[in-house]
Amino acid sequence: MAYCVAHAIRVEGAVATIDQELCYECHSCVRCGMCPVDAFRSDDLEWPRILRRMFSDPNFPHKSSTLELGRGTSEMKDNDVTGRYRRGEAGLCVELGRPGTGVTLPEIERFTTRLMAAGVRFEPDNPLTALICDDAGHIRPDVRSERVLSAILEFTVPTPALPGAISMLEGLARETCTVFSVGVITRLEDDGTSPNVTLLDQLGRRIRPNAKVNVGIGRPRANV
Amino acid sequence: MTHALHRMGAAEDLTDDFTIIVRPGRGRKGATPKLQAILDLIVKHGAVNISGARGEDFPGTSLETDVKNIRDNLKDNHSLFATFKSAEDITSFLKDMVAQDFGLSLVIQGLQHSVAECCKSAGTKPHTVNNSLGFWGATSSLPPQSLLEFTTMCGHSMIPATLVTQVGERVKSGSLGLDEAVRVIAKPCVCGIFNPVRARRLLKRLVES
Repeated sequence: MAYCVAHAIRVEGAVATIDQELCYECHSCVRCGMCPVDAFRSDDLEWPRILRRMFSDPNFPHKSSTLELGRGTSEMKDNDVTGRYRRGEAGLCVELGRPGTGVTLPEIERFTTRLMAAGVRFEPDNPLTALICDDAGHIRPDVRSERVLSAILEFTVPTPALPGAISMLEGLARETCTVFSVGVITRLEDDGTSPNVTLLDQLGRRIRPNAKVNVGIGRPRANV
Repeated sequence: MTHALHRMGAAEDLTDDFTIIVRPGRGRKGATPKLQAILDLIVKHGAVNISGARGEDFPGTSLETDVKNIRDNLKDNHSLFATFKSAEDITSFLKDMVAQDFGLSLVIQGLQHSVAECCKSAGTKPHTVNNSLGFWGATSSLPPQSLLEFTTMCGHSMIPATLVTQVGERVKSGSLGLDEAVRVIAKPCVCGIFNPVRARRLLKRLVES
């Protein structure tokens, strides 16, 4: 039971049950193999229930969209080769439901509709983008009853628009019932400085001391 | 994904915490021999946790299985993940990566100024950075910082705070040793970026507090 991130396993008397509404289908219970009577089994999930597993089980691919593992794209991990993020831009990774609180699809829609109304366009290769069904940012009706451990919104804005994007996220932070984590991606200048970090400092935004750094050894090198 | 990014902890508590991701990306066709050679370097430079062959045929991290099993299961589309316990180890690893010029992208997560120093020593320059602005929204629902320091070492959020609390109580009562306790907490994390050295230090502090 302690291994369940959703707190979905209940024991009454000698019988354990899984609350299907709470369960993310992350398969941690099956994978960890800690049940004393080996009671956990892997179900053959159908759409839309299987969406939970795609976004919650790190070892299960997005079979409906990208066919890749993970809740987002490779974002900046191979930016030295892909050139997805260029100088003069800020990449934003907004992971809804992280760390560990989870998120419902209607709650995700709160973010997608608000951000798209402000002109944001989401990364096309992200599996969450595939669930948006119109230009207003609405989520496909057939998946609206689902919930996932986390899902990532990825988008890019010109650096001068970064304060506006941060302000919008601050507004959403006041409204949402879940938690989200925010990362800002920068293609560094030749002297190693980050114009985006300078702007964030001016906004009084606290930046964590640890970061993810692409060290620039991928080939062939993108011209960005 | 952003999974190695939002590791909680004060700067002085993150000096023994560096994680890497090696990404074949567009050049993935035929990448397996390169991934295997890089895995050998990861082992040579003292990584304390390693993973590579994720997916439904996932054999486990190096805390769960031997490195040979991880090596034998690597495929062109896999990424390598590993954790290093010191700036010295990550610097010597990066020096070898630069010298051998595999052409695969490498991301290092750690204290940003330490990673910059590491790049300078190895003769490369940071290209792109992902900076964390932390957690937003209904943050009152989160566990305390002392537990987040463990749970955020798994970027997929597979380590529940309740597991850390339960294990901490067992250590406190003497029914579980520190090393075994760390293995129990690390078990749900599939991607090799859970740092057992840091976790042991944090767990000792947690149970003594």
